[in-house]
Amino acid sequence: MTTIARRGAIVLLLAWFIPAARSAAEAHMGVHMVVHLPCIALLGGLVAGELPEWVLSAHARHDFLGTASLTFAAAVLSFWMIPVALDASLLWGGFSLAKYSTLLLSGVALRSAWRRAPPALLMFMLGNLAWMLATAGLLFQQAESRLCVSYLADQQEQTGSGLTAWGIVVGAIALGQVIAGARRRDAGAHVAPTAHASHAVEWSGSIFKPPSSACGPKARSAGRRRSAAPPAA
Amino acid sequence: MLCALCLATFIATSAHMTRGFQRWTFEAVRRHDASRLAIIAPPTALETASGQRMLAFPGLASGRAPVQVVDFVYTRCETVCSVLGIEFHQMQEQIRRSRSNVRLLSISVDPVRDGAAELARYGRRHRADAAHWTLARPESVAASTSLHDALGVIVIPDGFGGFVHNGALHVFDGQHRLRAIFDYSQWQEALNHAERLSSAGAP
Repeated sequence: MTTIARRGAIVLLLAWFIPAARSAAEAHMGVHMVVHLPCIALLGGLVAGELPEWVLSAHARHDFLGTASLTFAAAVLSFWMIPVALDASLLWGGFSLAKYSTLLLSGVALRSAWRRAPPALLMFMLGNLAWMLATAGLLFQQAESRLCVSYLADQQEQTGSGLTAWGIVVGAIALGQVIAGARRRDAGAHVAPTAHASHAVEWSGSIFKPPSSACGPKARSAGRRRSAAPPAA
Repeated sequence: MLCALCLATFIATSAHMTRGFQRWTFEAVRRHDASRLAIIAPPTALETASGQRMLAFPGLASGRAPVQVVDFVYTRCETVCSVLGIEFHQMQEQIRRSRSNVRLLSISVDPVRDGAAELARYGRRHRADAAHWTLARPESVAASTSLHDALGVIVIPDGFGGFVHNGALHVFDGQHRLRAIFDYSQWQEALNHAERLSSAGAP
């Protein structure tokens, strides 16, 4: 995504915070949970691309393999799916502020962790999130009474379908991670035994470097140097 | 470390919100809080169906009040509120027979459209006896909102010009504390609970 496109998307998504737009989105449970809240997390992801290098590297230093970021994002997304928490965010200003700020931060955290986390960890976290979204979706669809006092029963059913769909999407992304990981392993096995070591260096290097430098020329040249070296006997 | 902190914060906040991972909805939490005497009704100025002004839940300074079963209705409602009216009539007859000191109070959630005339018509339809059952509306929208906020009664438009709200039968003790909330179908349990509180003097 180009910088201009990213900034344009940020401006567009910021429109959700205009009081009239926010009230309209919050008025319908499905729009709120299935469209509005994911958009806030997406906004966080886009904002992460605008953060200066020193912020990202400081974050990376305290976030081993992206575990803290992924845990934070999973916790935030899970929390706002709890009916009482969602109701509280609609009834009290403090909870509303907490909801939007934590969702925004979870987007930042996810984007930051995405390039640093090993595929296996990403797959584990995304798999869990997919399972949780699908479970919540089915519960919302099958509940006989209103789970959120701020919304009508028919909206709850529609929201359940939307959350289940999100579960499938996130599950597909998790599966994509598995396939991508397997392909990388296969490609590594065909190049040279030391290629595995080069991957390890890139990951371990990226723990203490901002994402761009981890995938940048230095890391790549380091990998090439190691790959070019004669295999150990 | 940061990861553990995230997890700990998530678990602690969720545990608090769900009252120990036991209650996942706002209504379940509200009923739990009511059972722990954590919800107190604020003094609320009402206008009754006869056009008189009254102060509901006036506070302890005015002495111990009778135990009350309170519901929230609007007179244009032809479904749930109508059923509530029938149930309140049945409770009224039982109170009359048992000569208990329990009072019934129906409060309108639509103080703008429910005037004294509308409430009186609702009362006549359900044969309300003012000696046992008071029908009233908050004197202002602000008073209505304040009462709903204090009790956790959430009223939302139903999309057809009417309203939907949580909770059904609220039992208040003599100190205006919300002691229990019952579903529409549990009017007998609600009345039994209120009569037990009334006869025990509700500490």
